[in-house]
Amino acid sequence: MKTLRLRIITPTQIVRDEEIVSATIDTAAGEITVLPRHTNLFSLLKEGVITIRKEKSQEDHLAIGGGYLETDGEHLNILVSRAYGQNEVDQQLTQKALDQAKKILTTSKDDQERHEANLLLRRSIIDLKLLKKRRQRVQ
Amino acid sequence: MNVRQVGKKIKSISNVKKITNAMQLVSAVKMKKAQQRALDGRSYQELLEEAIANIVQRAELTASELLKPNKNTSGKKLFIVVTSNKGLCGSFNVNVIRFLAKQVNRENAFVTLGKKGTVLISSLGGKVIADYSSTNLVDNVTAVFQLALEKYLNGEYSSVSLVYNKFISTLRYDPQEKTLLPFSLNEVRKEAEQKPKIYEIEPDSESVIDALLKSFIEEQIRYAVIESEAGEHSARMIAMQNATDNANSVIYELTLLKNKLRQQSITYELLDMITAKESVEQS
Repeated sequence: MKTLRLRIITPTQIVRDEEIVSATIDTAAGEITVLPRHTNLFSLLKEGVITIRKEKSQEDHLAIGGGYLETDGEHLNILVSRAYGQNEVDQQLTQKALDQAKKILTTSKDDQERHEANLLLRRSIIDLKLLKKRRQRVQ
Repeated sequence: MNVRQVGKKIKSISNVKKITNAMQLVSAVKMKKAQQRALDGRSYQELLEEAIANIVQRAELTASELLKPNKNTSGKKLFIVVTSNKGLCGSFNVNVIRFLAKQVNRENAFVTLGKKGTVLISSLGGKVIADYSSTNLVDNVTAVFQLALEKYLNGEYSSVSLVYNKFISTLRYDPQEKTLLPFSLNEVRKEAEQKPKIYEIEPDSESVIDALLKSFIEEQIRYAVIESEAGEHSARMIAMQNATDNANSVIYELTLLKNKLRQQSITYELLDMITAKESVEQS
């Protein structure tokens, strides 16, 4: 079967570099799935959860920050501000962060603080969404 | 100075030597880490550059605000200066400031990342409009970029430049100035001509290019901070190595002095005894 070379890169490290069958990603224009031999595409990405499918119907999920996607049908490069796998996100900590962000939003009047809390809130919601996805099966 | 005083001095200098030696080791480890981070961040920047090169060919020059010629023509410049927070790193910070010295006047303004830069620029009489020094400078990169972009788009300054120590090798770092805004496409264009790729761009090239350029500039600041950090640690390592070597030679000289003093006092005592004996025998 033909595969795609996926690379997920953040400013601090290369998160994934592997052969995959397909990937489903939230872009600014809606959710898309990239398969091998996809047309050349460059797109803006929204924060969200991406789903990577490898051979034998293995699935992997990652929470990502905003960024870019570039593909030419053989390679799929994803440049994002952050990317975390299911094993790297702690449910309790995320829930705590979410509650804290909500609290700040209801009480604080400082614009800067509210802005930061908003970012935190969006990030936590995405992380929780990631945790709700089916866990990657242990091989 | 007597023997005891010299002995005390030797002791205190060997304590200093222990400290400088430890700092040298710590800096060596930190430098390796910073270098590794610089390497890890490299691929993100390269891909961004490639993407910009590919997209730019299709986009209009007016697609992004960052590409338009600036409305401000006063020649006022904004400098983002990256230095270190801590001293004891030789001429590392002074190098940057010396490089900048000509630019310090009433017109230009400075945004600093690193406490040493803030202190040095204010002492030269420069206008520091914002100081983003904190323990972890990389965390502040986004804020610095937002501020610079806002000031630039407001028309307060005609250009934004980045000044930092470029890490070349463990023994070398050179101060460098990079113009961030207005954005110059010439360099990326050249690369793009070699291998044009036609892309479908979603949602549209205008918004993509705007976002791309912004993250590219932000990434350049981030990279400069990381590189400057690597340079800082290597500079400190070298400075501490010199200090340790120096302590060694001082200890050597002091030991020599101590031995001489001891021998001197022995000789005096002997001399005393001999003259006493001689005078007794003569009488």
